Amino acid sequence: MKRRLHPLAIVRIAVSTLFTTMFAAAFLGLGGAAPARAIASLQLFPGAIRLIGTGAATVFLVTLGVSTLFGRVYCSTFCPLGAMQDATAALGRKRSGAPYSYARGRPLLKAAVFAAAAAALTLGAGSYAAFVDPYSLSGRFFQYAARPAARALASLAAWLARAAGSRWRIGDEPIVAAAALAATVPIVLVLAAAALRGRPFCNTLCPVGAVLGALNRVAPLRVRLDAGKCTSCGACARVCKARCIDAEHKALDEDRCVSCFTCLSACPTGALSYGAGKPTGRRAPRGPIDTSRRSFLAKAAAGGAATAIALVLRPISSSAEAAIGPIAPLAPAAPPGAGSMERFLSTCVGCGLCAASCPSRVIQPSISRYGLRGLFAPFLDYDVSYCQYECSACLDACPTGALRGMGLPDKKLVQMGTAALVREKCIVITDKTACGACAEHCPTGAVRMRASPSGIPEPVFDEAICIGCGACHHICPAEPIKAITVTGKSIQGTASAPTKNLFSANGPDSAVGSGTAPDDFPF
Amino acid sequence: MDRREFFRTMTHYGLGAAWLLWGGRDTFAQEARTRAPDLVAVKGGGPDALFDAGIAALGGMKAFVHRGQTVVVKPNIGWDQPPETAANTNPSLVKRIVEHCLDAGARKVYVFDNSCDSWSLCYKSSMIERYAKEAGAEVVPANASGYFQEVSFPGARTLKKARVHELVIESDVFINVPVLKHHSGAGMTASMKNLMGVVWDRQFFHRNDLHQCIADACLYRKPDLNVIDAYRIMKTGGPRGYQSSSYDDAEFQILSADIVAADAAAARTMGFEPSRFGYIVKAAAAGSGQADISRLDVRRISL
Repeated sequence: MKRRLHPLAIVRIAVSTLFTTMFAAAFLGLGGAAPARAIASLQLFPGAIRLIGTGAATVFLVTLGVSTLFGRVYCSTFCPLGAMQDATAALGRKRSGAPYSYARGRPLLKAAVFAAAAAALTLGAGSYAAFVDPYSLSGRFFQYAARPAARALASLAAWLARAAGSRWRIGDEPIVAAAALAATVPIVLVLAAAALRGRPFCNTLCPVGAVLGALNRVAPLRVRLDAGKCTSCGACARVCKARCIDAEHKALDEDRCVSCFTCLSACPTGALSYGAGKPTGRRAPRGPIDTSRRSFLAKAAAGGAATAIALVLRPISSSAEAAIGPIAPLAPAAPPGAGSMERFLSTCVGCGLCAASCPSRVIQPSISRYGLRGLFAPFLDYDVSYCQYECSACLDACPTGALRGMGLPDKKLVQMGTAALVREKCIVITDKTACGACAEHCPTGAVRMRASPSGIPEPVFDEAICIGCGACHHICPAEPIKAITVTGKSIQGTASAPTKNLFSANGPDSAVGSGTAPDDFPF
Repeated sequence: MDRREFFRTMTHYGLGAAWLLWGGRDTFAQEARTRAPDLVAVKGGGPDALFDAGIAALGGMKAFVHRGQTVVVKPNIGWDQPPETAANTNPSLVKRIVEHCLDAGARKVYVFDNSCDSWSLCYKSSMIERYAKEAGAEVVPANASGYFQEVSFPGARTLKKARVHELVIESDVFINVPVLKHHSGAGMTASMKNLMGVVWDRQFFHRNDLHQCIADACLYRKPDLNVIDAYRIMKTGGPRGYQSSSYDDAEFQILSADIVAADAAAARTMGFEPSRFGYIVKAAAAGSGQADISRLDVRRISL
């Protein structure tokens, strides 16, 4: 018999589908910047970092307020990983046909993971905590794994469309296989668990789920079980993917209820409802949150251990950074608005939204450039492209504030790195043929061509107005070693405004025309 | 044959002869009038008005585009810069050229460039994408290596083989629409330098004698028509343009089927002798066109 869905469940599925589609589209590069930013800024984990780092509280508090009022609806609507788990779980159920059944919660594990994540966040190692953040996990999966796959499919479609006269082709983009793999593994694990057990990730590892679960206990509006009406038939428990309804004891573990509303239409007696003020079910014996001293001590110990781990990891990552410094030929440059490397790596969750927004694809995920702590943190890969001067898409998109938002005029002065010109490698010097590719691409005039005795213009460099965008580095044709390269700055600076006249009569650029065109025809 | 018949016959012959004579003369006159100049220079108007006058002097777009043909229009869309910086070809000019092509009966008009800055930004901020689409062109990107197929450049000294955009390979008519600018590497960019944007690997040019490669680049397929946009000329700080770049609002345009002649005229427009630019000298020596403007039939038009 086909069970009808409760209207609230239909609304939940519609909202969740809409949000997740928009989320995926944004990360796949199909959606506009505005919806991507809106969806990302609603997410609680990056919101918490934004709050700690910049004090921007509005959206975070609104989202939290909604959860306080309406229960744990966030997990079944706004959370992309929640939606992906629900879809996988539904498929898993359809295949196995086995009903869900009540399972006891794992409050100790949840508390420990939450404490570790909270410690990492407050101690400035948000990137570690992001390994259990559903938003970051989903974002980087879509950006670094699903996007290349989607583009491969689109390429196939484009190839087929050419038969019908289409000129559409999919542009070249680098694929970082290690990032694709590292982004896929956690998602596969989470979804596999969902296919077997419903929502285990959300009630054990997810730090957002931990907070929202606690709030769901006090929310005025939430799913409630009326023990008076309950006949312990277990119909609800068989459809509950959070596995939080103990029908035998007529008890609902509200902490773990993700407000999916599936149980509402399953209950034959109307004992389950969503609303305010109705009597709640009894406490299940040995309920998930017990206030015993033993439990408190265990949680405190777990929190302490997590803090210790976070403290240990910090020096490790710092030393890893120090270690790669002198060995790596060039320090990586972070995208504009990163501020200091320390601040950046503390607040970046590696979600990949900046990379998704970047029109030139110069933003690539770090696998080893920043060390373990900066896994998935973005860096500017000048072998791929260069930072576009008139663009601020990445820092506009960043949901954590790791890339500090600022106006385009300010962004144009951010020094992400510094170029270094090695004349001995320059084509003009070595081959005595004209080049100027660096000066051609430089947006500020920091590298420009100056007439030389040989008659071939040679590049000169002015560090004060160099912003480290990497245009010169990217385009320099010298092989095998480029004549001009950009090294990232550990603390981003501010360049002088490139307003001074670079082309005065005595200026460096004497390759300028002798005058303006004559009044009459010049030939 | 009686007298009447004789007169009738003579009248017929006479009329026929007269018709032949006058008609023939008329035909010759027409021919003299449509023998197009080698180069047209137009000044004093908007980019579209300059083109209207220039193409008319060349016999109209029908002299280049026949009914049912495909046309590729290749402007300079190299930089993420707005039209007023004249870093890219003027969008109104591109629009007008597309309109002329379609009026002449073109089946399809394509517009593309292999941009330097990120292509999506360049296509947008140059406004060429919008204007070309408004005129009815299909705007095609050049961001996928799959668009480019390897061809050989017969007679080339350095650029013997390169991957060229499929639209240049496949289209019936090739119209090159550069913007005239100072260029830090090549000295000046006009028609020949603009052909770097039909090739995938532009770094090869810089690595292997830039001037020789630019001259070689005309040896695969010379454009059927070059339209040099000199409405606003970036005199310094090209090709991208800096905040302190200087400009000449010349309201000028050069049209020629001879790519070398067009660039020689462009050099003069910038205030230089054509011989100053290595690629003009090399291309003329290779027989790609006439660099000596005094040997050209030039039509000068002031609006």
